[in-house]
Amino acid sequence: MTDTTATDPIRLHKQLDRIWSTAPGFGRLSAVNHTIVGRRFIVTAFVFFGIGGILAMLIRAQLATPRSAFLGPEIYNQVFTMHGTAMMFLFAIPLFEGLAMYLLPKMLGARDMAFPRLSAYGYWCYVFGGSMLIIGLVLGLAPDGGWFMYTPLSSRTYTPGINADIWLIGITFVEISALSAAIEIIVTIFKLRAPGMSLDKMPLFAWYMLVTAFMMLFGFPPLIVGSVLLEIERAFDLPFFDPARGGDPLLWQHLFWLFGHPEVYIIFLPAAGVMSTVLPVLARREIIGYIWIVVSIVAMAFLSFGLWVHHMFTVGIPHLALAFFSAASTAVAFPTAVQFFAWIGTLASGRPQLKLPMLFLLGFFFVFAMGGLTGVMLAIVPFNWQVHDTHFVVAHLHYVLVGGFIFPMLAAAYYWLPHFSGRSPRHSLGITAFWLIFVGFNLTFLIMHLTGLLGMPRRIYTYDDAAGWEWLNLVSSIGSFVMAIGFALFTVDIVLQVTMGRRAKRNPWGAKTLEWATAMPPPTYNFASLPSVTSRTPLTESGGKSDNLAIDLARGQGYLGFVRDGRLETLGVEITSGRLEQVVRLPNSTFIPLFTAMITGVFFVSVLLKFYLVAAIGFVVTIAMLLMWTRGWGDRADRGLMSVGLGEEAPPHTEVTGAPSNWAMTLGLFANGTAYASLAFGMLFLWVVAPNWPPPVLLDPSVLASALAVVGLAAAAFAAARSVAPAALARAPQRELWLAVAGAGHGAALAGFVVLMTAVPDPTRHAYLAATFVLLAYVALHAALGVVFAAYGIVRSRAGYVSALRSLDLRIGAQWHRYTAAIGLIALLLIHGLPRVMGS
Amino acid sequence: MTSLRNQAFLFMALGFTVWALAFSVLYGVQGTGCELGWHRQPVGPLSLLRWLLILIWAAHMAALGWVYWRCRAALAVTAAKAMPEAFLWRASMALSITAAVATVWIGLALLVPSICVV
Repeated sequence: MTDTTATDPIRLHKQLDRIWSTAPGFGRLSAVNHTIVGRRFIVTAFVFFGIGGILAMLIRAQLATPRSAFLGPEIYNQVFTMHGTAMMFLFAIPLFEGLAMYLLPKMLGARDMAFPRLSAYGYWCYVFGGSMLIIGLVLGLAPDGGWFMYTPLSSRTYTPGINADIWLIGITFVEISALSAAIEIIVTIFKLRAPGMSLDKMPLFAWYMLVTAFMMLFGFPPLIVGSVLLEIERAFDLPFFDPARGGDPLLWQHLFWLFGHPEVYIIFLPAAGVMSTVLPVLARREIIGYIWIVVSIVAMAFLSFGLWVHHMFTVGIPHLALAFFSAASTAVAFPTAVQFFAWIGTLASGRPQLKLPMLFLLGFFFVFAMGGLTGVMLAIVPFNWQVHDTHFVVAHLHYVLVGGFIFPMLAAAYYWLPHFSGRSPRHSLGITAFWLIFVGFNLTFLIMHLTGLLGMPRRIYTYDDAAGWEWLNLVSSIGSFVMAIGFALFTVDIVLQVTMGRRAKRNPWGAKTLEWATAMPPPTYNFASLPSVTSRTPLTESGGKSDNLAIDLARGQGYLGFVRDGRLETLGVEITSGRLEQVVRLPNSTFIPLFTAMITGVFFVSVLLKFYLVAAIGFVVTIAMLLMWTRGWGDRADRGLMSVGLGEEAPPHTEVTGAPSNWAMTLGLFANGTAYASLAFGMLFLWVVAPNWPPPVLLDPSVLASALAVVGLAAAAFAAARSVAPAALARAPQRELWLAVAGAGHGAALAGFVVLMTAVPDPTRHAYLAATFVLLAYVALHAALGVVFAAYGIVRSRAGYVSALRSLDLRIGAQWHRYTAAIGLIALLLIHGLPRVMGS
Repeated sequence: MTSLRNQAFLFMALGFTVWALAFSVLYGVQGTGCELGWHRQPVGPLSLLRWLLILIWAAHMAALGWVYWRCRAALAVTAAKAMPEAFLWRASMALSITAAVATVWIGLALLVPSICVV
């Protein structure tokens, strides 16, 4: 071991920067560092915000006057669809992902996110997927069925071109970044905190992001499943949403809104996290009701998953079900109000400063409260029926999303910009920008409530001058342009500050969270040494002045204040208590995430262009490249306890049970399980609700093939468990034999599933057959990957990366094998049970 | 003591998981029951479907009661030892109460006279 302990801060900085920095020039494309990737997410999101904003201007220009010939209906449909799509998928979610990536390690006292390469891969998937949508728009081929893509409008009959495919494939591509970010955020918050930072000492922003990430983990899979099913229907005519063949358009609505309504809270919660972080600093006191805020975040997250049907109140659902969803929709106002009162109480009992970020926070209070109140109105079924699909709903959703997301995010921009850039503003353009945005926004959307109440429907490209909506629309359009000028001024202000601002002093707001203990702008490694945390206000812990802690850390007087063997290291802790647990080794810059995203792009583009052979190759190569990420990664010898400074020791992450990557697989399987449950739900939903059931022909599954699958799955699960037993881990031949058995088990199960799939009668005949086929394909794919992972385990074992202490690779694989066995058995239960139930 | 440490985080989600389960099962059974005509089968003063829904609701309320008492007991132990997990148990207890209130709130819908009328 070649520990190198620096004697002074500059020497230590040079040592750390050498191993943590990214190469210049084209080397920048290999960046995986969270500060760089986080910044890229943020800047790219604002570029898409600009595009979405221009589309909004086109919409308002079109609607400013009756019978306008500015845009035809075809272009208008693409414009409003892409406006919603860009703002929701390409701006809001990536923006807070970027903010979380940038801030979380710094706030938690870590040197990077848990999986830097995954961050970079997610970023490139986001850029490529988003670009597909924008290129479609430029070519006049953009999706045009609304951002929710309702069937049958988005089905092949009514959207025969490529437009809907671009949405389905582009958005699914982008969602890879959302899911990868969700896993990464959870694991980072769980494991990569400064020692001593127990969950009750964690910054509230991390609590918000933790809950948000869990919501993403469970919220996105239903949409991914819906998108895949709709694409399969469009491409191969499997009728999931066609009522003539046992499908149901309502299945799409359920799957979409199962994602779509939590999505609103997924967007709101990070912004509320900004509120709970920035507001106490500017109010110059700690936040009131920390525990009640945590409780209300969790309550809000759960309740938000019980609201989705309030988007479907008019589709013909029994009154009792409407009452359930109406009750849940009103209930979610309570945890929101708890947070509101905590913020107001903090302001009232503090000494607030009316600085620029505070202006935007006050804007949030006004605008979001209005949106929340109209939300409660819309939760009431009779009122909802009256204003459904009118501009009242458009006004409401903009009050919620702009109030609940954009105002706090603009506050965040001004609050953390000195941290990002190391500079503070010379001018006060931001104040003018705020008033233009605030006045323009209310001018646009306050009056739009009235437009809606007067009956103007959403998504119409023009209206008659006898409708009585002319002056209301004209005022809204004028307001929108005032708002746009405000956003333009904000952009100018930010650019001026970054390029010509004054050198900012350290911790300009007097904050007490750890991100302000880094240099400004932050170095690649964040902290030269990592702090030990004993309270929620760590910057007050070192002599009472924030600079002291910062200087102590820069001098290497915390944990890991040295470079060991040229490795990038940070610390991992036990989840709840924050006790020191492990030394986590992180990867440095590499082009692999970019190349993997490019190959993933080949897969998606090939599906779009219906080059299915190329798509299959792209899929296989993507999996191969993902496995290549671990090539040469890991330890070939046991390291045991290693010094981490301050007289403490910890083992490397490869030698503990709670390693970040083990958690990542667990969380990934949760998301996977949600997708699987959505698929099974779809099948059962169609059986219970859809017309034209029972199907004309029922599957008669082969008992032999089913038995083969059952035995194979059971063998795989059993062998996987044996491969990580202490006796097997101690002896390479034994564990490799068990892994071979696991692989063979999956192989047998795969064969069984393939036989069952081939026995399904023509799946285009009925939704039952289509759903059965897809369900079998889903588990067959998992079994195939099980073979790959078992083989991968053998390769890793033979390469010397596995020992009695270093079993991480095998334990990750074992999770997959057990999970595949479980979903495979459930699938068999469904395909055998459903025909019997229906047949009786 | 280890179990109290390990379970603390899980219990934070448990209260509302029970709520979510109640919500999903009530919605699912209501839809299935309407489809299969259980609302037309009288059992005493109420229909079979309404009895089922009330039973499901009551079972989940009982489960929430158990979650509450478990959190309360764990909080007593962890708070007495000033363990950092006490925070999580306190939050879990508050969440179990909140989830119970939310379950009562959605349960009020069971008073709607028409179960299957669209």
